[in-house]
Amino acid sequence: MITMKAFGTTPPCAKCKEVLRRVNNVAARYPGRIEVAKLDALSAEGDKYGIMSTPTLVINDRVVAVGKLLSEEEIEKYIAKELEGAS
Amino acid sequence: MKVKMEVFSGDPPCPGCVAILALADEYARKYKGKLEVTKLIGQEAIAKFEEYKLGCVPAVVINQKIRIEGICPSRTTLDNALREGGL
Repeated sequence: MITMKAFGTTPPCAKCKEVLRRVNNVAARYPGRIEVAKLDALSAEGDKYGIMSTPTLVINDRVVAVGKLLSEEEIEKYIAKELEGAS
Repeated sequence: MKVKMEVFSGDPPCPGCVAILALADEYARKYKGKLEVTKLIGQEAIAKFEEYKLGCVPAVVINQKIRIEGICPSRTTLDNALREGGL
């Protein structure tokens, strides 16, 4: 199972909302294989990754984007890499 | 009667939220006595955020009407919104 964690602000800014929408869209293409978590940047979980900017996207404990909105294609490339590594 | 302006920001603030909070302070000084500015940030903003059915921050609600959402307005836009709100 691949875990994608989207860290944003509370309440969410436009970019934080959009990253979550994109992450959910990508996850929907891999049913049962991706777990999505929406998390607050100012949380114990956020501290774990030393988040300096939002939105931050973490895939399988690897920070892949900080303060940047990745396209669905870019997110999918990271997912493909993770799936390759798992097989 | 004072015009009521509620300004919503995320915590941690995104660049748009930082800008809108600065603008809120500026307008509170500029229209002292005529404008009542309330800043709602992070978790403390959630109840009102949901009450107004806002989708994202930054946001400005003037006299209980959503005027700006998801973007920090220019001074001209904010002036117009305040004028429509009765300032």
